[in-house]
Amino acid sequence: MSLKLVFRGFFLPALLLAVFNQSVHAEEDLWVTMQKTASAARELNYQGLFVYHNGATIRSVQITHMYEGGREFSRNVVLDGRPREVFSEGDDIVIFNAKNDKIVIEKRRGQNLFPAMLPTQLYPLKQNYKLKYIGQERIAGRLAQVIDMVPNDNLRYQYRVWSDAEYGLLLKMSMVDAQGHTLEQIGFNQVAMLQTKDLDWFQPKIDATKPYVMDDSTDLTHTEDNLVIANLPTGYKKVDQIQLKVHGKNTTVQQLIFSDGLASVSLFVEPMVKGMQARVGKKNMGSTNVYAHVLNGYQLVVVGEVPAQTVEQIALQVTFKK
Amino acid sequence: MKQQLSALVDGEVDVERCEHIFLAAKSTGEVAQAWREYHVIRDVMREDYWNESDLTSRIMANLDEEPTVLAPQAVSASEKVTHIRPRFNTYSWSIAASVAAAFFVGLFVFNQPETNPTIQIADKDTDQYVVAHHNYAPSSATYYMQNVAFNAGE
Repeated sequence: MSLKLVFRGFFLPALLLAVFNQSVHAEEDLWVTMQKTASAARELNYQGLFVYHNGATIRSVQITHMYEGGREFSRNVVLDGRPREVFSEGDDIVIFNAKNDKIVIEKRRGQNLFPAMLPTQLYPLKQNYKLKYIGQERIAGRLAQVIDMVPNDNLRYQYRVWSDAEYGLLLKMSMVDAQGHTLEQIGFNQVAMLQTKDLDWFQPKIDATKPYVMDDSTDLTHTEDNLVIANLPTGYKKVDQIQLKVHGKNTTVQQLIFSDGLASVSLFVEPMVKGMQARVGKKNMGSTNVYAHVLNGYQLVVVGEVPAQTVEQIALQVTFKK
Repeated sequence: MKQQLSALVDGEVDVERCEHIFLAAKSTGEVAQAWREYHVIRDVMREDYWNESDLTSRIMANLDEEPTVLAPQAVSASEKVTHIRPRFNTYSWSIAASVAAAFFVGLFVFNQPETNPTIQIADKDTDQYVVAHHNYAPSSATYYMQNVAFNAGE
């Protein structure tokens, strides 16, 4: 057997297999890093300052986060613009919002607050994104692994993730469109691990001179009404459906919320009544796209932090149960 | 002391065994303040801010029975709270719409269906939906954007 044949018969396939294995492992390793990043934001105790950029908009936020006795607590204080404090315990979120002479208290359902932006269940993301290792960078005085999440199709944006090389904490994340423009960016300017287990920071700065007012509109009716059938693009799933009451009208607006694990999209369905003007068309506002049209006597509006073709596709493929 | 108060509010501690906490709550302003603030957060999260929880009522009743009671601050805090009308009325929708309009750029219009008397999508027409999306969809970044939209117009 000649050396050439040996090479062809054994070494070459073995070499290819080795290369293949390595790339598979590399991708798997990166998903392990992502899993660590998703967990670290929820399970570590830390305090820091992060900045959110969206177009011309910049907001600085001070965060304190603690995981104690299996429960997660965080306090976010928005430092720019109007005073605003966001408290979360698990999925419950309460916002103290200074508006003119009063403090409005709003309640919200669980949102992926920075740095807990990656879902703990990564399976949906694995279906729709490939990971690509970019290198290492210093963020907020910490060494970070830089990983790109490249979508498999044009129905979602690309994300770049900076994950703390030691702790796995998400230090920074950006959203990039198909042309490579950064649409949104959120990241720490400074961050430190907390040693204390004291929860005394978990309280709002109460202003005794101002009235505290509850915003009732955040009491939502969650429904399981299946009248509307959305034929969603791959990877998107319905995560919630709520009923919005419009004051002075008898009709209610249905809001169906979809997510692929990272991006979220809302589909609004409102029955057309006499005198109501139909809205048709599309609109872009930075990372947010809107598509409106009328179907079967219903006004449909789709809004989401996804590419224009995604909101359009969702809007056009809605059907109604007969 | 604060931990004990928290545990009390959480219902993790037997009320009868915590007499010293009530005494302390009455006597020191700092702890009383912490008690009240903790209630604001916890009760709002449990959606029972507007109906005092049984436990809280029991604690307050306990405090009332004491001869040298100071006015329980949690009660005075909730007295200050009044309900406002839901945001989803036509009036505030239009305000939110005009507020957010300043931030929206790039309007593209599609061909309209020929049969329906439709209007083209205009900035303020769909802003109410954008605000609702940012309010209720689970996304961190959009939360800050919504914040910006509200800040701008007020």
